[in-house]
Amino acid sequence: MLNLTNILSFIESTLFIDVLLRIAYVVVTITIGYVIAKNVYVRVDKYLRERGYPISTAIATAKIAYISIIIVSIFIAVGIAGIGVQGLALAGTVTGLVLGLALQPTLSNFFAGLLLFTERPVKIGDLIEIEGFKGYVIDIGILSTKIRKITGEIVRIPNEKFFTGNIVNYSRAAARAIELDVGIAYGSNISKAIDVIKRILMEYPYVLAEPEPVIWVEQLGNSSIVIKIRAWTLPNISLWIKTKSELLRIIKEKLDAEGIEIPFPQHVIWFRTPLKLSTESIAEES
Amino acid sequence: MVILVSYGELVIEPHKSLELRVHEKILRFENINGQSIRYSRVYLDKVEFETLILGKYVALYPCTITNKIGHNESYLYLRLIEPISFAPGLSMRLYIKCPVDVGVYAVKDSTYGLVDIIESSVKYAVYGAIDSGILARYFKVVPQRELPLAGLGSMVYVLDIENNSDSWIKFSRVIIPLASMRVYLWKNIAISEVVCVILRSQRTADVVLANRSPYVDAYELPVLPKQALKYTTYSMKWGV
Repeated sequence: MLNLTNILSFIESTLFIDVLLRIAYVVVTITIGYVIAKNVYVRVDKYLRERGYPISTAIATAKIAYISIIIVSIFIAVGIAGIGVQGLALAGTVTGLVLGLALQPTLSNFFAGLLLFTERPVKIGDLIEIEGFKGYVIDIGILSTKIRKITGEIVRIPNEKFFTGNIVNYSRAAARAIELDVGIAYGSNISKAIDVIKRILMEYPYVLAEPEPVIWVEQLGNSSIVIKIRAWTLPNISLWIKTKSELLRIIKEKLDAEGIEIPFPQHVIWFRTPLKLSTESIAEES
Repeated sequence: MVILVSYGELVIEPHKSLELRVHEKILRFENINGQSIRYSRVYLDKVEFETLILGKYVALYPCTITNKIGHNESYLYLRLIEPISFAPGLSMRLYIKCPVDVGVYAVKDSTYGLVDIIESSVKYAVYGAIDSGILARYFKVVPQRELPLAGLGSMVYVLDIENNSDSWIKFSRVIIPLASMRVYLWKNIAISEVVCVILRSQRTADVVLANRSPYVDAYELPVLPKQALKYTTYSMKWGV
């Protein structure tokens, strides 16, 4: 009964109303901050995209604006709650220590995320390979980055991995090489075969004129003379695959048309001692 | 049947058709009932693309930028078959004729909707280093001192070249930014705005779109991308 009386008197006191009001102000401030941040995010993203900036730049800038507004609104809310600078610093130190220990992996991902926004080793739309996954970057978040594998699955990679692991970025260079081995029969004219291949490369639209393709005799193999081709093409993965596949098809067709044989692997077997073969005719058996 | 030899709007009478050839493709326009046009693109007797345009007018204009390869093809790389040596202080106007993609547009009240792009034969090249250079459309060209004739499917780039250094410079290639380049029609020939190429040294040159027509009475084409003058200059730092 006594407790209830105390509680009732506390509720009726101005202190309680003051606490309630402060909580309400904090909630309202953070909510308004969140709404503004969300609004700014959408507008900044749209504004930059409409002006032709890359999607990754638009998203990164919008996210930075979003986070900044959220942080500012939290500070304003803390001020409204009446927590002074000293109190904030003390609370921050203690909280920081506790959270730092508890959330070490999360924080490392968070700071890696900030570095991803500033250093930008990858950007949205890039084709990358990381942690054994190959796919397109579709979103760079504060803690993790999403990639869509070439086969369609979505993989979430913690941001930390972008700074502790190896990344292969297939989209950064202006061109990508294709290397092909073409084996021709020992009886074939090597110069003629090289000329045919050179002509194909010159005519094919997605083989770059500069840097020029290079063709050379790689080795005298067991069953064929191996001609090596290194040609540069566009970094776009689908065009790269198409170019490689088309070149192999055209080279085979043109070499066939020119009478240049692409031999099967074959082995000549030599016996140290002549083999003795016995033959039995079926007629004799019967 | 009417054969058009230049760019511009096509006039097709109701229930009549028109056929013309651009870049080895046959373009067919058939005015169905005076209100709509059936358009088809044919290559080697096979219809590659067909669509119905709900309108009376179509036009053909050069299309300097396409997004065919998934990259914004914003640059043109012209490699001179024979390099030209420029004496110090020398300036000269050169005309370079190149194949160009042709855009088929539906037209209504001065608004243009892109219907199809007829692509010219293409080749690409990287100017500069593989990791930091740029990918550009590539042509081997022969520059001329006089404006050459150029019909449907080709256009002429007008270069004002100036050797701004105190030594001889061998000029063998140029990169032209296309994103905000203006294209004009003059005597039925599609021509670029004046492109100033200022040779600084054998390794560097500035390419600046002059924002003016080579001829005062040229007509600026209305349907080209105008990207807020973002790429009007380009510094060639891997040599000329």
